Amino acid sequence: MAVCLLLVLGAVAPASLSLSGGISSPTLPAEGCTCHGGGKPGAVTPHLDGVPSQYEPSKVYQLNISIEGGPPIGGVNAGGFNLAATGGAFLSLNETTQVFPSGEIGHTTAGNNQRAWVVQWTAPAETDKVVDFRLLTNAVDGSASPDAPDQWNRATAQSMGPDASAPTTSTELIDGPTAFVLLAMAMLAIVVYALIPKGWSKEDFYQTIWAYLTTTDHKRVGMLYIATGFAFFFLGGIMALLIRVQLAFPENDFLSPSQYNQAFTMHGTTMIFLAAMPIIFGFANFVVPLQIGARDLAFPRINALGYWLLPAGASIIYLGLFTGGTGDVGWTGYPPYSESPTSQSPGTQLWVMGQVLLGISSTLTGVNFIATIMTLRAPGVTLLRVPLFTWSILITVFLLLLAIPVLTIALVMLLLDRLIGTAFFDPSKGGDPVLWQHLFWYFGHPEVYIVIIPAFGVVSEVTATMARRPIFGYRSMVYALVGLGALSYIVWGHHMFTSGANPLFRFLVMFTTMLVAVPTGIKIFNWLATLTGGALVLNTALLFSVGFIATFTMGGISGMFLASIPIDLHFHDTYFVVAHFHYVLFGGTIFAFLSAVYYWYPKITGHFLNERIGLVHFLGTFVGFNVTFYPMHELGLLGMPRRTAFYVAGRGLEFDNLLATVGAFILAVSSALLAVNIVYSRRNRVQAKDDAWESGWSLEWVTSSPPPEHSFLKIPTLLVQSEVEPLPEEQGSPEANPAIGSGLTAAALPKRSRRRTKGSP
Amino acid sequence: MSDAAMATAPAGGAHEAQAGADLHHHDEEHTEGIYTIAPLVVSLGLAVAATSLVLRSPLIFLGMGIFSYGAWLWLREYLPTRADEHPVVSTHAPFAGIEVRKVGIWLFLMTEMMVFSSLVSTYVRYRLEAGADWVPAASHQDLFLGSLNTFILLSSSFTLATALDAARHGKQQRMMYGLVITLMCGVAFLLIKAVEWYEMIYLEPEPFTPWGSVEGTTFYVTTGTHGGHVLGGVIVLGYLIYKGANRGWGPTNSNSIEYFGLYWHFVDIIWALPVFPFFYLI
Repeated sequence: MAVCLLLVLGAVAPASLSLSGGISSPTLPAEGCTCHGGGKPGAVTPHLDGVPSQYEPSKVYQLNISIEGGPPIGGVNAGGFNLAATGGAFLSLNETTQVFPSGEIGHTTAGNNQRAWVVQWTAPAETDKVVDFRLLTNAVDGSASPDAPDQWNRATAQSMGPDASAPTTSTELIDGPTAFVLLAMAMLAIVVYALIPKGWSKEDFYQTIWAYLTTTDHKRVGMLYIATGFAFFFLGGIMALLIRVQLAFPENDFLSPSQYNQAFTMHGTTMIFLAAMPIIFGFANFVVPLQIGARDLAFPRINALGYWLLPAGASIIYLGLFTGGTGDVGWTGYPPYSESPTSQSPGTQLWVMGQVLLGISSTLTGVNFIATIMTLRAPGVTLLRVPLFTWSILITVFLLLLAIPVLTIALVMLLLDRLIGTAFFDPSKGGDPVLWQHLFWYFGHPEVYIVIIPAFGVVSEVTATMARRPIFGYRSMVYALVGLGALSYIVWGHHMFTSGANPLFRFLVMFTTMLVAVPTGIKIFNWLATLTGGALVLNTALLFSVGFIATFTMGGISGMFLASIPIDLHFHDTYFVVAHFHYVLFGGTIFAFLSAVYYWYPKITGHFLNERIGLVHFLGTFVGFNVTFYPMHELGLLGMPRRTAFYVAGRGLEFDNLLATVGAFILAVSSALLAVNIVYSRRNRVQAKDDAWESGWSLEWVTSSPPPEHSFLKIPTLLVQSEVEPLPEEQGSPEANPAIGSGLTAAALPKRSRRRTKGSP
Repeated sequence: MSDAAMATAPAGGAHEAQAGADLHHHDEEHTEGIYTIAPLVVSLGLAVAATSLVLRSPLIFLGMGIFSYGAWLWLREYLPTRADEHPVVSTHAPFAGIEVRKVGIWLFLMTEMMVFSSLVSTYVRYRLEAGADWVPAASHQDLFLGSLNTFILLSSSFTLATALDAARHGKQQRMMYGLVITLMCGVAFLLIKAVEWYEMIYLEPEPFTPWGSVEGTTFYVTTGTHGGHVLGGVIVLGYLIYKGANRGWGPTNSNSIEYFGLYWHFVDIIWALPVFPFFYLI
């Protein structure tokens, strides 16, 4: 609560200061002037020539100011400037410039019809000063209309005295908001502390830590993955809050443009690679071997290596915070921007390198899971009797296997371009930036499915269990998954409709993209059919799954909008796209995996999560989610661009942006309820049975909750009903053939067979 | 988190008793888990090395040191003795009867395939666009050295297969010859490669560099990635020879040589099919 209050205060306070003023206004947005209405920052190049890198004390220097670019000159005015220095004194040479009382120098009315000026600067008398110059310029077309295409920008320079020590490079730590990040970390620490059982000695503590550092057990590695994933989900959420606070008000100056770039880059990278994928692989680690009746993954040590590469890669990505700014090129890292001279901070290099390590980790995980699912199934678990969650993981890891190496090698190319100047994406040497887009999206689109397909698996498990009936259309679900996996490789071009690609190529990917709706539709109708007529148990797990079906369908439909080339040309890079992918990634993946948390928590820990807190958690998340992301559709329709730190007032963008920010805080508070629930449930235990929901369909419900060290006391054998001879005490029992149709075999079997499993405890 | 599981966990150090397989026991009765710090150490080393590489810091040697220590921790339980392998075999179609490690290696080779596909398609994309303007790497280099390298690498695949055959028949000396000659071929390949690169970058009047043009970039990065794979293979061969010298391979546990062979032949084929013709012949 306190954090939220602080965040709101932090949002309001700077906004009240950021009045748009003239070019000599004391409070200017970082890019410069907004005094002439429309236009955009950063489109002109200001030049400040004549600043000596080392000044001689009290010497007089002549400084030339000029603006390059800008709209064609017409009317009475052409441009203006404002120059400030932290030392020395300015002197006006003629009637075109004037020195303000603040000591800054700017143009006069007489000097408003030009784009170059000459001024004098007297260096300070001290020999040890470091003087920073800040030049703001704007170029106008003289029409003075509110929609004039005026453009402005800023430049900086530095001059040092002969005895000045070298200036420390200004670190672009996310400074103002650092307090929030630290507070968030403190909250995380409190949660961890609250989870430590009472009566633990130091030895217990160290022993547990050591056991987790050295473990290769799929269940523990899974728990490490899940914990890491949610910790980064929290951190990525903080980044999202920073973004939303910045965008709450027009022309807000809570974050500088550079900090804003870092915030959305780290938000995207964190949420995809450090939150969603680890949470998915956490559950996959824990559940898949149990569902197929294996004691562990095929290569347990390599599985542990895959996990430990995750914190390694994550620390490299975040190390940028201490080297003058993290990566700031967007999670897609498009060249030429990501290779331009303005983007040479080591933070971006580290961001690339960290992702290379994450790529290696995912590749190893992919190999491991395919080998496991294909070879280590228990007797009787044929491919078409594998539960749908395991099927979804199998498809996912196939996508990983073929997509992640492409990203890894593309990142290596980008890194080589930046480090030793190779020519891959550098047009001046014959390279082609669009090649990066092809390589990136060849990985990127399967990646989107890598994070959504496991969500399908989770929802299939939860709806079937909570509706107390087998999943409707098991085989069609499997074929739809396989179809989605295959389609994911031939749709990547829809991210590149505006990149000038071949029209035939664009048409083909538009067609294949629209095909995606077919398998997705099959899945949605199968879930609805499973729920219809089922004896529903309306608990938190099912609520999140039903919430998933609703929000994911909306995200899918806006996806069909974007698949259409003419509409995409209009929506490209607007908030409509942001709304779409948050509806599928948050409303899809995160809702499903929150459902998974509630569903498998009793299996993982042996006790249930509290249902009342769970209900509030769900309602808060569902409401907060829609309040945050629904308005973004409208913002996109109004043309608000992504990845832009400011928007101007008076274009009808204010209300929706404020609403989205309010929603983001509702979402943040309700997400914190998950931690509250975990701590509360741990203190007020409600023990779970082996088959916690009393209607589990798959083998993980056969073993104890939590499972023993080697998962199963004895490996179970899965038998279909026709293979089972009735046990003596069950002969003549009315449930020998319940309401399972004769055509239905696979999905229904685990439950039936569970009671007759050979060797199960 | 499960208190029960934590309480019963041994405090580390218990290694899998069975050597030669990175596999769990599918059907055995004992319930002692595998505990090893090696994956953590390897990751730490990689993280330090990768960070130092980017920041151009000498700490890269520390990172490589930590990585090597981790790798040694990982491998040491397989090193000392010659134990029979108890391969864990897949019981289900489509891999019924095939050892899990072999499936793993093939899957790994699929990912390698994607790495080289990306590099080669990058090359093809630039080459097709440039058309007649393309200055082939072949015009800068000695076809003799390239062909020699092809010959050496293809021969090394043969010698490795010989070593495997010898190991399967328990012929220690022949196996060692096979492995050592394979290693020497790998080293020779890398040395010739280095000479080639040095000549082109530093000795030619008009240097052909990785940072000068797309022609240079695609050539050096593709052959460099391939060379990196050969280097990795040479290091693993060093391990195979070390263990072989201690009479570590025999008729009952030579599968590791076969699986390394799959990798080595793959690297060989990558050279013979896209890399050599694309960069040396056309």
